[in-house]
Amino acid sequence: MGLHALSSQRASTSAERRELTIKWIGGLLALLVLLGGVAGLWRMVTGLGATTALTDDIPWGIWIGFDFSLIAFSGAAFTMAGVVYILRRNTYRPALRPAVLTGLLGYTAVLVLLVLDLGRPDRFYHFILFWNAHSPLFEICWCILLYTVVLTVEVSPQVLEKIGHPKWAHRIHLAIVPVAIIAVTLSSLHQSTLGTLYLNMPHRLNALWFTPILPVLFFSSAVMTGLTMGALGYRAACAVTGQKMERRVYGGLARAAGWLAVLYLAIKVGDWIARGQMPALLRFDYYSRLMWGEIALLVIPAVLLIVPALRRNLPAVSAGLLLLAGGVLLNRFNATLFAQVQPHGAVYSPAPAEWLSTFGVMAAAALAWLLAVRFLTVFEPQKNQHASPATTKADAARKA
Amino acid sequence: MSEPTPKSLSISRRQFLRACAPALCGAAAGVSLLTADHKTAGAAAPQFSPDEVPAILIDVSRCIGCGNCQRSCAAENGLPCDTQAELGPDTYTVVEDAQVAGGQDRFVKRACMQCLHPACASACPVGALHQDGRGVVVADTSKCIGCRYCQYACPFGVPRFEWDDPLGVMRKCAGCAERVAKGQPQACVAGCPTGALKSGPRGELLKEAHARIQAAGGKYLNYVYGENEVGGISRLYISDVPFEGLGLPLVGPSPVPVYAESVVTRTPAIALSVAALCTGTYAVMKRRERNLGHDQIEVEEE
Repeated sequence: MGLHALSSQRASTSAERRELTIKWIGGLLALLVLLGGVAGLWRMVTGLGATTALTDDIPWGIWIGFDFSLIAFSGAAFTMAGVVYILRRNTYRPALRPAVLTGLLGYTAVLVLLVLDLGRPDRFYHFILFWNAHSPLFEICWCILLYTVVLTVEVSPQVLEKIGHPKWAHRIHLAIVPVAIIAVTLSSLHQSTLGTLYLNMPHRLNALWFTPILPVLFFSSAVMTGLTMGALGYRAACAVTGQKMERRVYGGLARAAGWLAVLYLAIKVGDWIARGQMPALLRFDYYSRLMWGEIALLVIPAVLLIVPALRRNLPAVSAGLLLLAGGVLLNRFNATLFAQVQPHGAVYSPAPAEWLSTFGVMAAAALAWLLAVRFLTVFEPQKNQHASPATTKADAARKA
Repeated sequence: MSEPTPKSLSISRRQFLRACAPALCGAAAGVSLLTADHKTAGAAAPQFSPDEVPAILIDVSRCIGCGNCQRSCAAENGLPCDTQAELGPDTYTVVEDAQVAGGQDRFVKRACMQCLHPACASACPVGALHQDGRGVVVADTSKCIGCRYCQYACPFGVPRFEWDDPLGVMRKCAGCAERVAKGQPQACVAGCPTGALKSGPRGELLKEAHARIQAAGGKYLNYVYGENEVGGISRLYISDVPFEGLGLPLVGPSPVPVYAESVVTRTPAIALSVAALCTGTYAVMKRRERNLGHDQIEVEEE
C-alpha cells in the first residue's frame, strides 16, 4: 500500500523512517500472504499427494513442525497473563498486550495450518462430534479451540477501546483474573500434551528424545519460550509504535527466560542420567549432534541472559532471546522430523507448496500483529507515567 | 482510559476467589484420587476376553506365496484386484517375499496385526479407528479427518492414507469384522489353499501354535510371534526360519499406548490442580500486594 509514493519520500525524522520501514515490512508480508494463499488454494483443490512431499513413511512435515513451534511461541500469552494477573508482577504489564496478541494470532495461524494438513479439511469439526478421550490429539484439539476463545476475550478490550466501547472493555477487565486462570490451565494442559503426543511413538522417536517425562519437558520449554516471546514481542511493539522501551521489562523477562533455560536443561540432563542415555549423548553420531545443537541453543542464551555483565548489553540480550527461540524451533522440529527413525530410511524434503503455504500463513499472522500493534491501544496509558520525549514524538507522528 | 474499580467490587471478587481456592484444592485432590481408583479398576480394560478375540494363525513354513489371500481380500472389500507388493489404501494385505539364509524364500503374509491394545485406536482423535465389541480393530472412514497420527502410533506401519484423493482418509484391514461376527473365517483365510492361514479365537490358536511347534520336533522355532508383542496381537506367526530374516518388526512386550494413556487419563486431575495452584498463588500474591498498602497499585490493577 502506497509503496511507490513512499519510496520517493525523504525519510528525514526517525518517526518517518520507522513508518517507512513498517510499510516495507508490511508490503513484503502481504506478498508472502498472497503467494501462500495461492499455494494453499492449490493444495485444497488438488490434494495432499499432488502438492506435498509427505508419504505413508513420513506423513507429517513442516506444517506440523511449525505448528508445534508456533504453539510454543504463542505460549507468550499464557505466560505473561500468569506473570501479570496471577503472580501480580505489575512491572511487566507493558509486555502483556503485545504477548496476548502474539498468542491469538499464533493460534489462529496454527488452526489454519492444521486445516491445510488434514486429509479431510471439510471434517475439521469432527473432534467436537466424535470423542476419544484417550487421544492426546483429541485433548490438544479441544484445548486449542477453547483457548482460542479465551484469547479472543483477552484481546477484546484492546479492540473494544478502539471502536468506542470502553465500558465493555472495562467489564471484561473485571473478569480478567478468572479468565487468566482458565488461560493458564488450558495452556498447561495442551502445551504438555504436545509432549504426550509423542509418547505414542516409542518405536519411532530416538531414545534421546523419547522419555515418559516429555509432557514436563514440553511444558517447561513452553514457559521458557513464553517469556522469550513476551520480551521479544514487547521490544517489537515498542519499535513499531515508537514507545520508549523500558529496560527493566525487557531485561527482567529475558533474565527469567535464561533461568528457565537452565531449569529446562537441568531436567533434560537429569532425565538422560536417569534413563542411562549419557553414553548415547556422548556418541556424537547424527542424533547426538542434533541434541548437542539443542544444548548449545540453551547454554549460550542462558549465559547471555544471566551473566550480569552481558545482561546489561542490549544486543547480547536480544541475541540470547533469539537463540533461545531458535533452540525451541530446533527442538520441536527434532521431535517431529529430524530425530524420528524414519521407516525404510525414508527421506522428506518439503515441496514448494508446503513452504509457501507455511510462510504465507505465518506472514498473515505477522502482518495482522503489525497492524494490531500499530492501530490498537497496545500500550495501556499509565497514570503515573511521565511522558518521555520519545513517546510524545511518536504520538505527534501518529497524529500527523 | 478506565476509571478505577469501586473498592467494594474489587474486594468481593477477591473474597470470592479466596473462598474458591480451598474448594478447588479439595476438588483436585478428590478427582486425582478418583482417577487413581479408576486406573486400578482398569478404566481402559477391554470388554472382551483376549482369548476370544478373532485371530489368525500364520504358519510361514506352509505359505507358497500364491497370493490367493490377497485376491480373496480384495474381492471381499471391493478393492482393485491386483496383487500389490506394498500395503496401500486399496491394498489391505500383502505377501512379502523374504530371502532367508541358504538362498531360500519364505513368504510372509502382512496385514493389520489386530493388536489387543491398538495404538492407532488410542491415538485417533475422533475414534474412527476403534475396537468393536469382539476386539477387532476397525476403521470408520466416515469419521476419519485424515490427521495421520495413527501412522505414527502404529508400530507395524499398517494404516495407509489416500494421498491421491483431494479428500483422503486412512484405510486399513478391518479384520473382516462382519464375517467373523457371522462366525465365518476372514476372507484371506477362506482363500488360503495350503492351510498356512487358520482362523479361530486367539486363545485356541495360541494353544495350537505351541502344540504344532512341539509336535514337529525341531522343525519350528520355539517362538510364537504375536503372543507378547506390544502386549499381544491377534495375528500369530510360527516359522521354521529365524524371525529376524522375515522382516517382521521387532517390538517390545509393552503396549504402545501405556505411556500416553497414563498421562491423558489424569487430565481432569491435572487441570484442577493447575487451576487450584493458580487461584492459591493469586490469593497469596494479591494479599501481599494489598499489604504493601499502595493506592497506586490498586489503581494500576484495573
